[in-house]
Amino acid sequence: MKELLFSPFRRIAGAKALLAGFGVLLVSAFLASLFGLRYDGAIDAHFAPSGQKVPFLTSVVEQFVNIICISLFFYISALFAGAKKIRPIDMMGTISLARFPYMFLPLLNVGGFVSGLTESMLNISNEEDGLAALQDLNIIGLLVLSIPLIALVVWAIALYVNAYRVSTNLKGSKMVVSFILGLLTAEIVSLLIIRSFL
Amino acid sequence: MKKNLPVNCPSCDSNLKVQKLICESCNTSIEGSYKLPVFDYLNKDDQTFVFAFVKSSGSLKDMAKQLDLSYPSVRNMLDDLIERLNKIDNQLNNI
Repeated sequence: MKELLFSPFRRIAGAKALLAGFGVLLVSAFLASLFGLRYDGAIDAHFAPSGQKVPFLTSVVEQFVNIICISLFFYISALFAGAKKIRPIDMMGTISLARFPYMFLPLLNVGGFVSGLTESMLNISNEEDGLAALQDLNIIGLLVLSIPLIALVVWAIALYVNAYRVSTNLKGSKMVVSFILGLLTAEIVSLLIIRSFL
Repeated sequence: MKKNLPVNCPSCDSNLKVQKLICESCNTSIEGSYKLPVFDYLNKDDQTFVFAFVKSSGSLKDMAKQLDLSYPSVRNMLDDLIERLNKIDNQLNNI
C-alpha cells in the first residue's frame, strides 16, 4: 500500500504511466473547472475568486505546461548531475502520474469554501480592527483547510522525488540538489509562462 | 542441505581464494591459489538477476515483465549491479 501511494513508479513508468497521467490530467482539469482552481505553476495552485470561471481547456493547457516544464528541467538537471540513459518517456510519464494528489485540490473548494474564506479575510483585513476580527472568525477555517492542503502537496512532492529517482537513478546529495534545482526552475518558468499567456 | 560458497574471510572480511580442488570420481586433488570468478562475489539476489537477465537474452523489457517491475526500475537494478561488479573487479585486480 505504501509503495502504491508513494512509489508506484517501481512498477509503472513509461507509456503506461503517461497514459494514466493523461487520465489524471483530464479529471483534474474537469474538477478544477467545476470548483474553480488554477494550476498556475509546477507546484502551485490557486483558487479562483468566487464567480470567476476556470475554462476546462485553460486548465488542460496549464497542466501540460507544468508537466512539460518539470520533465524538461528535471531532465536537464539530471544530465548536469551526471545521470545517463534517461528516457524522456519515463520522465514525462512518471511526472504526469506524480501529479495525482493535485487532482484532489479542487475538492477543497466545493461550494466556494476557500474562495469565500479568502474574500471574507481580505474584506475583514481592510476594516478597522481587522486583525482581531480576522483571528476570531477565520482561524478555524484556515486550520481546517491547511491540513489536507499541506498533506496533498507533501504527497505530490514525495511522488515527484520518487519519479525523479526512478527516471534518473541518481542517489544521495547529487539527487537531492539536482531535484531541488530542477523543481525550482520548473516552478519559476511555468509560473511565468502561465501568468503571461493564460 | 544447500551450502553457500563463502567468498569473504569471516575473520578480516578479505576476499577468499580457492586453495584446493578435488575430483570426486578419482580423488585427485590439486592445490594452488585460484581466484574465484567475479560473479561468485555477488550476493544471491544479484546472481539471480544475472541468471534471469541472461535467460531473457538481455532484454530488459522481458525482465520487467517477468519481475512485474517498470522498465526504468529494472534498468536501474542493472546499472547498480554493473557498478558493484566494477568495484569487485577492481578489488580483485588489486590483490
